Amino acid sequence: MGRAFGIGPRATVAAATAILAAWLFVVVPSTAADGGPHDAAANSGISTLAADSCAGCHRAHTAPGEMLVAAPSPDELCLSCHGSAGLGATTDVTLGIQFRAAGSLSGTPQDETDPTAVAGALRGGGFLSARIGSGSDADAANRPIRISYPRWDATAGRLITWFSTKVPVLPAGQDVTSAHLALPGAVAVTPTGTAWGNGPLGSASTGPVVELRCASCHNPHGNGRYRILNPIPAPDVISGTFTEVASPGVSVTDATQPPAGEIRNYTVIEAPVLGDVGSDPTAGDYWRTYRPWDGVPTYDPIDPLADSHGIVPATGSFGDQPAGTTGATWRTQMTAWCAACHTRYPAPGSAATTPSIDAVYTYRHQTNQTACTVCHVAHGSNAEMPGTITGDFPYPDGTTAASSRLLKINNRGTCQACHDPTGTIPYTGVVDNP
Amino acid sequence: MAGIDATGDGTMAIPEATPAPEDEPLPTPPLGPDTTDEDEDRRRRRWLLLFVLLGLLLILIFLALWYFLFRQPLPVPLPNTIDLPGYTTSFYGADNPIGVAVTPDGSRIYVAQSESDRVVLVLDGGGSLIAVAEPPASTGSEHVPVWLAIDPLTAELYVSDRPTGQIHVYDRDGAYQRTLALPSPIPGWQPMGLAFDAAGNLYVTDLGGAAPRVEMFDRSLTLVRTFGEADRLSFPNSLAVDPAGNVYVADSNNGRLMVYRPDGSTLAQVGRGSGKGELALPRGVAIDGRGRIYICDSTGQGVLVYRLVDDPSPELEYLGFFGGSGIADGRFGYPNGVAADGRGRLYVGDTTNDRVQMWSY
Repeated sequence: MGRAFGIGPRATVAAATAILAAWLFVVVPSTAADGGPHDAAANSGISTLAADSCAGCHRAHTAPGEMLVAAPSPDELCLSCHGSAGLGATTDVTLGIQFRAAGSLSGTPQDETDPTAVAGALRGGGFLSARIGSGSDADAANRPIRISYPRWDATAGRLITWFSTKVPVLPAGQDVTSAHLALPGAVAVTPTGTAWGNGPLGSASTGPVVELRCASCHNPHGNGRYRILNPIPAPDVISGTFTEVASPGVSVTDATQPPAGEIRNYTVIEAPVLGDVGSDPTAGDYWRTYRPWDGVPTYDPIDPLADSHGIVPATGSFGDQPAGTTGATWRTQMTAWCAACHTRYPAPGSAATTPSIDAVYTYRHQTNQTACTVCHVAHGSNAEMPGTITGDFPYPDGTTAASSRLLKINNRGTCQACHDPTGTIPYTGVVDNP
Repeated sequence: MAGIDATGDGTMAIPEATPAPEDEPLPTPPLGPDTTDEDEDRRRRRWLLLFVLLGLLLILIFLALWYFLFRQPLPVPLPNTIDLPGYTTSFYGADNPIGVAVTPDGSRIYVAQSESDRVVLVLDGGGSLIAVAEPPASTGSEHVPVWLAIDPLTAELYVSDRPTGQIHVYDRDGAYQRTLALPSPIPGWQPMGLAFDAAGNLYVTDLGGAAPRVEMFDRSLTLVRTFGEADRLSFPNSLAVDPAGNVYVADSNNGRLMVYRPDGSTLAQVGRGSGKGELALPRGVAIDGRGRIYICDSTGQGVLVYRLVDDPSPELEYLGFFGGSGIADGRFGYPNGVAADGRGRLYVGDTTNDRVQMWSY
């Protein structure tokens, strides 16, 4: 090839070396951008071409697994750190636990006076168990409740009382009843493997059968995006045709890099409602999207940084979205990312009354205002669905299963949390603050 | 035998083959004059041989008695071998085992299983389950036993519990005794690896606090010293203490084995890499009676063996590796814990293969 372009073999080698070096210089900063444990700088202490952390997971010539991974199963490689023993990470995705990190929490409400090693629950739940207080009436302290809080009504020009739903964090995990990934040991999970709604509107099938792995959704090397999510999710296709989202895919903006070891952005440990903010892991709220990322919020509806509930974050960032991003943008991105696989689910506000052209997904729940993650968790949910509807009502392909569908509240409590058909919440109005 | 040496001069005389009449008996060959003497010589030789054999037997019996009564080490210099242990057997039934501990006589094997019911299995020396060490119900929350150590003075079993950040203590048969309560609680304590030195001082790797570190407690659980903070340890897991008081720490996420002197200063280390003797994801550490150091490398799918040498400077000399990825005998799936008894046997927590492998010399 070199001769074809009129250059010698030495020049060819030199050019190839230069290209490789340039490629590495381009790649290394991007792989170091995430700031998490999959950051080359965090693993080796350096960000140069001499970084040696590759050897922690890969072998150049003797790897027994794909992608030169030093193990037969890449998922087991992930779980060797993120598994139930928490041997190498603060995020335990099997039990849905967030461990505290050393050196990061001094001086915060979750400071070192708290003796527990667990900071709270993972927002994504767990693949074996989760801590979502999803709703047993027999356990009043650990089930969803309706709460009220003061809110500034700009129209009325006064404080009013607003109601909402709170899904607490359980003090201990429960077996999950639905999960995106069926790990060995999950006792009550029977995933169908169907990527529901994948394909363009009007597609004939309900979706192909796929198998997810950790790397289907996450980039283990870090990519600077929220939760190191792959812009183009790539599950293994078992049957049918999986339609990938068009390149460059969907990017969810990550936070401005938090301090090393900051873990609260992954964790349900705080509640936004005034008086409910605390360091107790069980004080968290699995339902609401508004959770301070970096400090104790205050209540000041006049503050221009206050949200619609009058809650002001400590340093100007609030909500489920990462620090430095806006809630609306993040919710849009998050929904778009989930829709990279579930392409026929996202819908505008009129989707409940305006039929789509799709024979299966004719009418759909609107997703333009609320991120998918408000109602669903990404990894696994312990919600229970013993009601007749869940077990009897078929999936779009006609099959039935008593799966909790990754929802956060038992049975159809997720619907009630917003729509409250029981009338116990003054749905149409607000109550004056006494 | 007729006709053999019948001439008496050493030559053979073959009788003429003449057909015998049917009604006459066969002629009896004449007996030579030396036949009786020859038989007696044979009998004498047999008796002599018998006496010799009996004598040898008596000598052997005497030597055996002498050996059993007054035996001493054979004065044969043993070569300084660097041989590796061989696979012996496996104990199945542990669900995702992490930490492993064994009594010096090998009569009790403890296995921390991190999945299913997440308890510590107590096995006898043959690998049979004889008890289950469960965490106290009073501690609430979920439990995951991770790393184990045996108190050399009381034979009690110490178990670190990851989610609760506690250390539970059991007797040698797995009966719960107490949960450690430090006289001066350490804020944010997250104990992981556990080890004792010969004097019974307890060493703990702590993931909490201002930085991951190693803590040394005396018998009254008073914190004596901490070290390792300056090395920026990342998820230090197991640790072990040699007879000289040197502390070996698996600095897991940094891919290092750190060796600290008794005063906490750094003595030696091995780093991450894919070459011989280099580590990938070290987790478990154990030291046997001959000073050999065993490092369980989880993503390396095996156990690396070192020994500490002091010439010309302190360093860990790599002796070899055993294991490899797989499910067959002697192969591993993300092994974590390793323990050595006093009989030349090693016990390795073969995590994703749900078993404990025994290797021996």
